[in-house]
This record gives sequence, structure tokens and C-alpha cells, in this order.
Amino acid sequence: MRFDVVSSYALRCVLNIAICAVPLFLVLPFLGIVSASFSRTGALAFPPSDWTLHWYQSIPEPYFDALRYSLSLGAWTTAVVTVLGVPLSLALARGRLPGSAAINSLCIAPLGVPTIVIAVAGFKFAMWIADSWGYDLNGNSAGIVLMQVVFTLPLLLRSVIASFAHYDNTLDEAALNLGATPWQVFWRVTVPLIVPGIVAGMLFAFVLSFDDVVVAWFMGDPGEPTLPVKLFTAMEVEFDNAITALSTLIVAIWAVVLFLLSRFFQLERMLTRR
Amino acid sequence: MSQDVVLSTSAIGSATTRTRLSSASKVSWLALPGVLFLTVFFVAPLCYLLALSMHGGGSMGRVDPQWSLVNYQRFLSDHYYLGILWDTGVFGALTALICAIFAFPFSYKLARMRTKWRTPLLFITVLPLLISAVIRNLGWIPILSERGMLNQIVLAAGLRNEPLQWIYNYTGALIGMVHVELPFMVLMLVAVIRKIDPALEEAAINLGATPWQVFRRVILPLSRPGLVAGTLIVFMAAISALVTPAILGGKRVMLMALYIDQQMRALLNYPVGATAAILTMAAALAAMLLAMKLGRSRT
Repeated sequence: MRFDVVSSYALRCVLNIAICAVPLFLVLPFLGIVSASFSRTGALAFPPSDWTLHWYQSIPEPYFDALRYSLSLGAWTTAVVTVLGVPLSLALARGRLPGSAAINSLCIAPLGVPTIVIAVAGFKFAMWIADSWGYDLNGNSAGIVLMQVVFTLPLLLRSVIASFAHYDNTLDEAALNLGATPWQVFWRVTVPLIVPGIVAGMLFAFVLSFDDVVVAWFMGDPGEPTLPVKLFTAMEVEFDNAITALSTLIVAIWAVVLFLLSRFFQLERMLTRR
Repeated sequence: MSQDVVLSTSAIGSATTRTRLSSASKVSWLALPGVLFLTVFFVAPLCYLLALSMHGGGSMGRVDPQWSLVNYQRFLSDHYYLGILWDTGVFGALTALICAIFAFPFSYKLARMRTKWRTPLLFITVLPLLISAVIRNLGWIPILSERGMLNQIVLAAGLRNEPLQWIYNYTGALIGMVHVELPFMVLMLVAVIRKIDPALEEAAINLGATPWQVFRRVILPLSRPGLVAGTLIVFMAAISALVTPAILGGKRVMLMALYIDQQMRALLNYPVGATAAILTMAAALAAMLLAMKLGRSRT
């Protein structure tokens, strides 16, 4: 009996430590980046001996070029994935497709294929296209966007199709019975109800494209890297502590974006419905 | 999962069935561009990669014209290659195991929480998902390096006399990988645990179950689908990760993705790189099939 009480007390302690450790662990590297960005000694020594804003003033210009390039690629990927994905999800949710099980599997299949495999396959396939037809997708923004669309498409589809799950079809019928044309029903009833799903899917696509290293690493032009690729090579080859300052700025921007999003959307519902 | 959604929404029976049917077949045409796109830019490249892996070849872009399985034979018999495969599998399994054990108590707490702490904790969980793995890896350097925070604490506490090597080795890669994947695990677990009715736990306690029994007999079985799905996501990401093992593993860790990168970009040995990629995909597929078998609820 006595042992029981002690062991359950010990268990509770261990659990509480584990519970507190998770948020601490998640925050720790951000703490590292921020402290290194203000530290005169840089990233390699921890309690910064002296504080400075030097690193913020000395972010090299090529990093801003890379940031602009990443933003534009993210916008392109998001646009293409939306144009392809929204009609596709409408067809999957509403249409009567011959072989719809096969098409469904095809559409979620990229989720089951590791990104590096998609990237390598795209890289070699693009080389083959270049050999056969002379149009080179490697070292080209179009190649990166196309391959990023492949692995972001399933997420957009899932997000949009999930918004059909709670869709009440009697709303459409009511509108039709009240004399609306099918086109009006689509724009006035269907679209407003699935817009949150579309927006969430677009957000996923943008984030994945903006953060992607692997596809841009294989398919991109080494002379014009995206920001994550440039940071990746910077950490492998020439470490410049200014990248901690840039990273701090990026983390801060995403934190603000997430804060604003959490005010307008229910984050948890957006992320966990599948 | 989404298949059920599609099936349930397309099963319609009502007075307007006829208009629905004609508009449904029109709507079906909207699938065409997306399906074509995936066929050309997803299925075709994978088929090309598979074909490439079935040719002999060598470095500097040499590819033999005749078909053979020599790459697969070499991969599955040579100790060096088997070692990489094994290390990759162990790395994925360890990452998934640590994430699952570490995330479970926190996810339970977060799922049951009703206080004002809930939103900030959710914020902390989601924020890392928006930040590139490269930046998050960078953040570990001031913490784990030789004169970093962790070593300062270890030295100050007198646990060791000299700094420990946390980074640029297997440990570093594992810590970084757990950090990259942990939020996915937490979100999957929170989603399932929220669906468990707290009344079930109270009933078990009233019937005399110990907390451990409640966990073992009630919470764990009911959260199994989320646990399996989370473990699968983490495992699949970890066995194919390139960035984190490259940065935080230094040059000392050789996993599948790093090997693929080396063969494809440095040595230009395309057939062997393709074989490694196909094997990575096969491992992910095998994990997925296993998870689908385990994830099915017992009812």
C-alpha cells in the first residue's frame, strides 16, 4: 500500500516533468537563434558575453534576394496548386468519376512518397526531358514550382474535401427549388462554404513551398538559390552569424502571422481535420 | 480517410437527382487537369526513376543500356549498403519512439486543458511547423555546441569535467529530428484524445482501476489510431530526411537521403542513386501498409 502511494507520486512527478519538458524543448532552438543574433561572440558560445545589433546591420544582400525568390516561388506554387486542386477536389467530392477509387489513391499518393524521392525523380525526369526535347526544367523556377505542386497538392485536396464533409446538400436543393441556377448555387452557396478549406490548403501549400529545401536543392539553379537552400549551404560551407539575425526576423514574422491567424481561425480545427 | 468523405457526399438520393446526375458528370471533367498533372509530373518521373534503377552504370553519369537488377543485388547483399539501410531504419524508429513517448503526456494534458494556457501552448506547438527545418537546426547550434547552453549547464552542475559532444554526430541528428517531427505527433495525438469521453476514464476509476490501468486499458486503446498515424508520419519523414542529418549530424552520420544526395549530385552515379531512392520509397510504403493494419480499430 505504502509503496503504491510512493510510486504513484513518483509517476505523477515524472509525467509533470515530461509535460513541462515538451514546450521547453520546442522553444529551445528559437531561444538559441535569438540569443545568437544579439550576441557579439556569435552562435558558438552560449551565454552571450556582450550584446550587439551588428548582425542585423550586416545581413548580406544576397540573402534578401534569396528571400524574395522564395516568396515568389511560394506564391507561384500556391497559385498553381489552387488552380489545379480546387476543381479536382470539387470533382472528387461531387462528381461521379469512373474509377474514382483509383483517382483518389493517385491524388493522395504523393503524401506517401518521401519528398526526396519526388525531388530526385523530378530531377532525373527533367534531365531526360532536356535530353529528349531540349527544354531544361532543372535550374529553372518552373521545375521547382511543378515539383512543389506535386507534394502540396494532396494537402490542399484534403483540406478542401474535408470542408465538404460537413456540407449539407439540402442547402443546394433549397437554392435550386427557390429558382437559383446551378451556377448561382455554386457561387452563392458552395463557394462560401468551402472557402475556409481552400484558404487553409493554400496556407499549407505556401508554408511547405517556402520552407522546402529538398526540391529546390535538386532542381534549383545553384547560382540563384532559394532562402532555405542558401541557409543550408551557408551552414555547411561558410558560416556567417548574420544568418541568425535573418532567421530571428523570419521567426518573428511567422509568429506574428500565426498570432493573427489564431485570432481569426480556430487553429486546431484547421490543422487536425483530415 | 478522404475516400469515405467522397463516398458519403456523392451518395445522394432526392427529387433533384436528375439535375444532380447531369451536373455531377459535368463536374467530373474538372478532375482532368489535376489528374493529367499528377500523371505527367508524379507518376511518370517515378516510373522513370524505377526504370533507371534497373540499369547498371557507374559514376560520371554512365548508364548501361541493358536492363539488370545488379543495383538491387548489390544493395541487398553488400554490408556497407545494408548498414546504411539498417541505420536509416533505426534512426526513423528511434525518432518515432522518442516522439511518441515524449508527446503523449503533453498531448493528453493539452487535449484536456480548459484554462487560458491552452492557446499559448498550442501556439508553441504550431509555430515550429511554419519555420523551415534549416532555421530550426541553426537554433540548436548555440544550445548544443561545445560551449553551448547545455554544456554550460552540465559543467556548472559538475556532472562532467569536460564538455560533451552533443552535435555533429548521431545524437545531434536525433535531437534535431525529434524537434522537427514532434509537433506532428502532438497534433495527431491531441486530435484523437479530444474525442475520448472523459466519462470513460471516470467510470474506470470508479470501478477501481488504478491510473496505470486507466491509461493501459482505456486511453491507450482509444488513442491508437492517432498514435499509429503520428508514428507513421514521423517515421516516414525521418527515414527520408536530408537537411537535419546533414546539418546536425555533421559528416559522421550516413543515412539514405544523404547517400542519395551524394550519389546524385556529387558522384553523378544515377542508377545507384535511383535504387537508393526506390528503396527509401519501398520502406515508406511498407511502413504505411503496416500502419494501416495496426491503425484499424478493433470494433
